[in-house]
Amino acid sequence: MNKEKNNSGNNKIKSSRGRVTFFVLILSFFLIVGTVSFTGIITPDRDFSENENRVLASMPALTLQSLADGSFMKKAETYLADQFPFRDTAIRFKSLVDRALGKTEENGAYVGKNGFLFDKPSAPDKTKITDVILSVNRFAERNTDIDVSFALVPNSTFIYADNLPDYVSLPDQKAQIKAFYGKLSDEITPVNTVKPLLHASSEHQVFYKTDHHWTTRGAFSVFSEIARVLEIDATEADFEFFTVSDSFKGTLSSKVTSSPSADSVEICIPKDNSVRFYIDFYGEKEKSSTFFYKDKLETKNHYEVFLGGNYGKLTVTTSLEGGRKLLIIKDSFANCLIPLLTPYFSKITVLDPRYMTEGISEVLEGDNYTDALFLYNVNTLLQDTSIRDVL
Amino acid sequence: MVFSSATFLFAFLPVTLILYFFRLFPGNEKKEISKKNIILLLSSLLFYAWGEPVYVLLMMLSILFNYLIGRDMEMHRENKAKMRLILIAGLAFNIFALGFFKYSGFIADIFSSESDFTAPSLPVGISFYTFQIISYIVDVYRGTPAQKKIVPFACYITMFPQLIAGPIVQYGDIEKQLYSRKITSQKMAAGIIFFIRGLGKKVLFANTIGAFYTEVSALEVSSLSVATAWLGIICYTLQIYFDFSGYSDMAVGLGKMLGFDFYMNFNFPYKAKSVTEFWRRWHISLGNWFRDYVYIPLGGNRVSIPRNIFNILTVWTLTGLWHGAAWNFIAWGALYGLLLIIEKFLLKKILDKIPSFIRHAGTMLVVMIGWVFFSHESFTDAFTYIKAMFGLLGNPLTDSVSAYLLSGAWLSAVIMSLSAFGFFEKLPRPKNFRINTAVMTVAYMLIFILSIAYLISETYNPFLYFRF
Repeated sequence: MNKEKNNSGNNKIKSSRGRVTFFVLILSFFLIVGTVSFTGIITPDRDFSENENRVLASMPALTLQSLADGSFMKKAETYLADQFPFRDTAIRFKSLVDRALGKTEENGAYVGKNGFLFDKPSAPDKTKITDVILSVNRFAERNTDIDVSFALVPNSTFIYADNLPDYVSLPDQKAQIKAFYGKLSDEITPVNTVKPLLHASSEHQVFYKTDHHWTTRGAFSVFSEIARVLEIDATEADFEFFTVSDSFKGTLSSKVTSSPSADSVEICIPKDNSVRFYIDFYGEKEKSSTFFYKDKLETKNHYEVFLGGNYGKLTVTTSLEGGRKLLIIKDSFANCLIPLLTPYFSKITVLDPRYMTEGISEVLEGDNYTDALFLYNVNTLLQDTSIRDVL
Repeated sequence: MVFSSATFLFAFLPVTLILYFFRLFPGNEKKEISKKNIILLLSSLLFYAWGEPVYVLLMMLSILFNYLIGRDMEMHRENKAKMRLILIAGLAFNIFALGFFKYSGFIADIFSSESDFTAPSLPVGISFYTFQIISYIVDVYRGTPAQKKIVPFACYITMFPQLIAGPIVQYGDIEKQLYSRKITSQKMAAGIIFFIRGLGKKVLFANTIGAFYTEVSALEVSSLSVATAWLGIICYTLQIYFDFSGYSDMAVGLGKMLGFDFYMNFNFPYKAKSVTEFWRRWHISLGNWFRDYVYIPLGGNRVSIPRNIFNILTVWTLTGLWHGAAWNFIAWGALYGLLLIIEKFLLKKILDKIPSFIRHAGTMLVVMIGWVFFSHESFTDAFTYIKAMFGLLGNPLTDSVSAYLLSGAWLSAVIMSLSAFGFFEKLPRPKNFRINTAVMTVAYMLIFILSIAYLISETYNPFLYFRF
């Protein structure tokens, strides 16, 4: 075993010539360490990372308490890492190396083909989903005067399965949706979402490549189906599409730092603007007469152009008097679809159970809703239980 | 603090080295080394307190106590019986401290599964520094002069390169270096090479391949296909080697940069052609420690065969227990004890006749099965995992999980296996010394830069609006 000792092989030579060459090695090492340390000291701290879409750590305050419990050290480590001088370059560099090594996953996202990135779904919890079904059914039973429908939308991993990295196999969402619909009570009308999305995908891009949301085209295809179920008379000719951004780099591109692609964002509005409306955000935001927040196109998340984000409760009151009243219980997928429904109702209340502060009964009180629509994507529904807590 | 962090590399290390090498007493080597020792001690205490702001007091107390034990033994050098008593008191204190902090929860669980006892959190590195302390007091008992000054003694215990993850330095091996050590450019260069190699092993290799094992370990054990089970344990086998030996290499390298020579802790263990050889190459300093402070005092192999077997089993059960306070570690250690006994008494003659690649493959198989026990706390899971490896669960040979894992991991696994088997050391080197050093310099600096990029990437923490 002795022959393997001293593998570095260098420690045998002791000439003055050797010392010079060693000197180069020593110098380069300390040059790298020194350059990074020094650049770190002289570079002013960054407050925000555009890439990571978060506020970066600042130097923590030193107190006896924070020293004793070690929180000072933890924060200082985060601070140094966050303010590392070549941080973004380093991260991109690693991502490229990973790609070269054949890794098709990064920070919980799949790096698919043709520029597609996908969210890696986490395993569903069976007991939670049973609870969700029970509470949705109970809601329908308690409110027999409301026509309830449910639209469960597949994710891009299903619609664009061909673009997943090789060998990735995920649960069949079509079957999952079918199984879910099968357990809903007869009072609830299921909306077929798979068929219109697949159909539309042959013509349009129905999901963003760099974000987990569907595109406005995708939402529109399902809207047509919802319109049929809700007996609304709407055709594609009644709407117009406008591109508002072609530089959208969504959540998934934050996870996959070497992703080169960007998406376009379209908005869709009814051609006939005779039905006017205003939106009440219940104090979370000023009342507004538009669904679209152009200022959000200046930030990273262009999807927020729709409604400007998510709110526990908002109400759209329209100039259509004596019309039907719609209650939407939804996740963020609905944000780009709500504008399409507006001309057909005199009031639309939109609830996002993840941010709600009140129970559903308080919302229902005093208003006679004629229709209720649940709109969720499969991943959120399988992972989020706030819907159960609210209903 | 860990070596593979921005804090260590770009704040702690440069500041420490500047203070360490700044000559305060030019021309007076004796004062100079005392100053170096003080800087080393203070920086080591800071290094430890960074992760253990409270337990650093425990370590300091322990150092003071054992320093006094050493002094006390020295004073009674002529009185063997008295020395023995002091030694036993010292050992009792140290073993009690280790036992209380590391094993009390485990012992309480054995006696009552519903006990209210809440075990204290484990002080980082206590298993390592306790063993170094024991080495000191036993060496003093055996005749090495005790330290007169507390600073060099405290340096021996706390020295930041080896403080929290070894190698376990024996006092006798380092005693002289505490007073006189030469830092040559050659040693500094060798230290840098060791350090960068270790950093690369940890950050580029262990963490990358470990991510694949993490995925396998998240799956239900009983659902693993044969290929997934094998891939998982191959990844773990590579991860644990590169992680641990990487850390040891960094320690050896930092030691050299400060002028110390530690023994190598790993010597291509996966090249071994028998289990006995594996343990001569894996965590060498731990094996040596158990040999010198447990196995030989028990009589070693100069005893009857049954007694020898007992000695081997004791040492290996303790080795297992040292790795963690859980039954699976004990079983893992005892399993190696058994294997070593079998090799020593039954297979010795047969092994020589088997072609070496079969011996190599057999050793790797045994080692990998060992890692299954090491990595699964529950025996049920470990046995199920082994069944999965050998297709005894009735699961398919391959499935989509194994295909996906293989597509992502195969290239990394091949490169790392070649490295673990020592392939890169066999590559032809330029004959010319200067060219060779130049090539090495460029290669190691690239590894260094790549490692920095990797370790910074680990802190990548995008705020995702997924939930919104």
